[in-house]
Amino acid sequence: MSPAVHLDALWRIAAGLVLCPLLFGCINRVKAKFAGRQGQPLLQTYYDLAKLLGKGAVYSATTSWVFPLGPMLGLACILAALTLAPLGGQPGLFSFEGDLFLFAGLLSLGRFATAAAALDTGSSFEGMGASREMQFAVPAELAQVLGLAALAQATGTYSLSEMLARLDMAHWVATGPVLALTATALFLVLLAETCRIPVDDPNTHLELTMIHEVMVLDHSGPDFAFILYGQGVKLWTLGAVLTGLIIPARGDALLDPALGALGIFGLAVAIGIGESSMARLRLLLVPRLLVGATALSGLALILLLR
Amino acid sequence: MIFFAACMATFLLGAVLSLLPRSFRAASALGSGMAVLGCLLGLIPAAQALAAPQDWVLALAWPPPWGLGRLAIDGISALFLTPALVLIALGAVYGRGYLAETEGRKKAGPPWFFYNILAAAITGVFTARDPFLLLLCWEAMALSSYFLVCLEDGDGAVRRAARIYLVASHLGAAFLLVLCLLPGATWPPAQGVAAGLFVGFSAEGASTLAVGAVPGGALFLLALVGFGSKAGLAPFGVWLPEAHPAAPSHVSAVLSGVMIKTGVYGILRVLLALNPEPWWGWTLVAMGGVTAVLGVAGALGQSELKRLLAWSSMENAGLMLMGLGLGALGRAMGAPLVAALGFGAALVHVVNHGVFKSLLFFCAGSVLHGTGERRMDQLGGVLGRMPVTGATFLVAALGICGLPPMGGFASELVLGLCAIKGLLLPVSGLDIPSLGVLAALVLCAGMAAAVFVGAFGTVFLGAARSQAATQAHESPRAMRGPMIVLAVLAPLLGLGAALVLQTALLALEPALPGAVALGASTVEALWVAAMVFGLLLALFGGLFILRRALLRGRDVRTGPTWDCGYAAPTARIQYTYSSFAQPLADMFQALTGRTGSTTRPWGLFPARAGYVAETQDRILQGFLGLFGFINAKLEAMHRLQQGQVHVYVLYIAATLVALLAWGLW
Repeated sequence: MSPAVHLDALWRIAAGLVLCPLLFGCINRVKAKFAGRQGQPLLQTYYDLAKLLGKGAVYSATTSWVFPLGPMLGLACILAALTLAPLGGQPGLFSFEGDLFLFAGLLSLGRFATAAAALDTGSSFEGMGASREMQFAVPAELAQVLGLAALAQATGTYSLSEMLARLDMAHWVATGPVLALTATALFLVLLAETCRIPVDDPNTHLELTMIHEVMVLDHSGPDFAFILYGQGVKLWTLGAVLTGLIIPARGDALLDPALGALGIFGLAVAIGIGESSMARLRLLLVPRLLVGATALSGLALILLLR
Repeated sequence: MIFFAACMATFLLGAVLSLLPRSFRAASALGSGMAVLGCLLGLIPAAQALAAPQDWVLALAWPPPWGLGRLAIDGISALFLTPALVLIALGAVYGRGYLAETEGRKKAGPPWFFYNILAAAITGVFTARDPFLLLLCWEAMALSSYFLVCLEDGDGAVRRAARIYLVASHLGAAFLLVLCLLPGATWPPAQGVAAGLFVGFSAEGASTLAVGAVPGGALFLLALVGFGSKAGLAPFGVWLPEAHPAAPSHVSAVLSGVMIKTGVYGILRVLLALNPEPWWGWTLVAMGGVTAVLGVAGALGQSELKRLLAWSSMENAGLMLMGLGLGALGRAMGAPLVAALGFGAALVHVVNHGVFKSLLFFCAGSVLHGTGERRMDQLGGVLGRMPVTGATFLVAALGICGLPPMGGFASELVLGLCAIKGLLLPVSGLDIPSLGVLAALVLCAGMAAAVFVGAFGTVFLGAARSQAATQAHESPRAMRGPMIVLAVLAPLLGLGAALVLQTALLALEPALPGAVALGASTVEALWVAAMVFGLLLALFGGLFILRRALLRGRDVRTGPTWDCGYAAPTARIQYTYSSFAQPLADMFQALTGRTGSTTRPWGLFPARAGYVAETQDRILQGFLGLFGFINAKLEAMHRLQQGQVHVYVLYIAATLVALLAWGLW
């Protein structure tokens, strides 16, 4: 396929931008139900964002211009990645051969900026978080790119949009187990990238055990709103790619994206169930989990070799 | 080509002229000025050859003997020569500022003499069309860079590094000597023409000379070892992590940014001139992959910034060689698409890596100049005092990690796409190497990101960890200028990556017919990627304005770092580079060996504990052990060496008698 710009993707992107904070409400509601609590309002994240955007900010005296760069660049990166992600088999705004590398590269750039901002505070805890985040990113990125390469191989195409558009029921019938392996690997990557249990616990209040949350301890006000919103967009974006894989495309320009969006909320429910039913892994086990995800992706690729 | 002749003449003249003046300043102005002038003159024909790749041959009215004047620029030469000349010129400007502090301590003449000779030699290597001339330039390059590496020869560690470099580069050159001086050898080598000389004895006992073609595989192996040792290919590139940090920073920049590429250039020439066999590609992919992973794992366990950069050079050389390996496999297995993209990826990375790595060494030199401290763990918070150095380092770090929107991302994309296309092609035997390249590439990218976040964060961010860091000062303008130029070039190379790839494919077209057409879709893809880069920058700008508008007039305060509510933090509680990289480095311990030295708390009242990243170089240890072993065993030969003439006469007589006996029998 020749590289292309699909302007009709704009409304799918807009839907993602509006709906993504709702995902957190959905996860929290599921967790509350499991715990027998009433839970936060579904729209709580929207209120939080509005509150944070209306606040001033406190900056550490140790920091430099790199510190505010982190949230801004982080959000810009994940927004740019959203424009590459197809929703329900319908293409993203941009698609070209090899865009999966740009997708991974944008996530990596956002991570780079966040980690640099964390190191800028001179805090030992944030240094710890940055170190862990960069460590875990190595196997996670490998699992992601190998998994997407396996999809490329299964569909014989080189771009994210094209892969997920081609991935229909026939592929699942023919290479179902391999696609299931890939989906598992990508789900683990999603958990790591969006800092959910079992990799990271966004709700803990002990900095020693956190990874991503500890890196953003010093951000406040609009900066923190950018980070929070970026997390939502990231969950939406990675979820869109994963549901695109799980729900076979049928070529319907309206129904498929709607199914895709429903799938993302389904993923949020699954994450909520997972978080209610298990604890966070010990830190030393996290790399093993992610290396395991890499092995699954690699296995999927090898099984597809002709 | 008159400009090219003038360029070479300027370099040689500059070398001699810089020795003449007595004054330090005059000599350095003359030496660096002539180097810059020579580069500018050389850039004219190089740019012409880039735009329209045809062989620009140096035509002299009075050609010198032994092919010494056989210089020519084609597309491939131009693609290596253009970045090389730009970097050498910037290095000359930077070096003038960098060496200014040695005034009164050292002479300015010799460094500039050798710098100009190095410039001429590198230009010669990229343009020579005669094996003897190539060898001559190669040797001039090795020797001049040796003298530049040991400029600070008062330091024992520098002398040791320079000696390792000298030995390694001559061991490598020995293989090139065979490659270039085989009877009938040409450069670039020609399939089946290169003839070897075999001395044999016929049945009658009369000796005859038999001439036969040397198999292409043998030529490839000679080139692989000879050129690979210069490119830093494991295990022959052991000298690289030693020599690059020991050299003055402008020389390190040229060594890492330019000289490594002479090795890549040599291997590329051989692969394009001969008909590769699949095992050549396998060898290159395997060795390149090992070099890349070893290089970046080694970079994780370093505590000095320049050593870290040198290890990262090894990683990048590995990436380029993997590209060459896929290209060779593509050629050997009849997959021209993979061949074009593989070689293209290597060429794009040559250009990009030159820019980033030179810039990183310039920045490292600037940090060294401004703080006098080599150890990263003693620095911190330098960004405020060295804003230009810090900002340019950040740009270069993004580039070397292959992150958008820098040029490094483009080389990663092309190489990764080449691997995925190799996976998808129904050619058996191409899939496993492609998979290996893909995995190694992504692994290296992730680890490089960890390395450079850690290095940038430790050196430039946070609070100062030592007196040296608090008293840092920005470098003089002569050093800042070249850094700014390269930092502007880095994102431009990312936005215009499609042009770079297009140029590379155009240069490959004569050797790989159809390369431009095959790579057209990738070039288009890079244009769309550039659109996404544009969107990224626009989004960033939008968020920047939004944040500024939101915070205007609001309560924006400054306080201490939160740090779990601990209100009396010190700089010593910060993560250092060693501690930052330790968990990841330990994951690769099986590969690299011990990654650091720990001081454990001890006793009833433990006083101090510590950890310093310090990966040992197992390959170097191995070589040193091997050489020690050979040396010990050869001790026995000393007994033959009596130093008395009559004993030697006895040896000759005994040999004659033995030969006579053999002939009669």
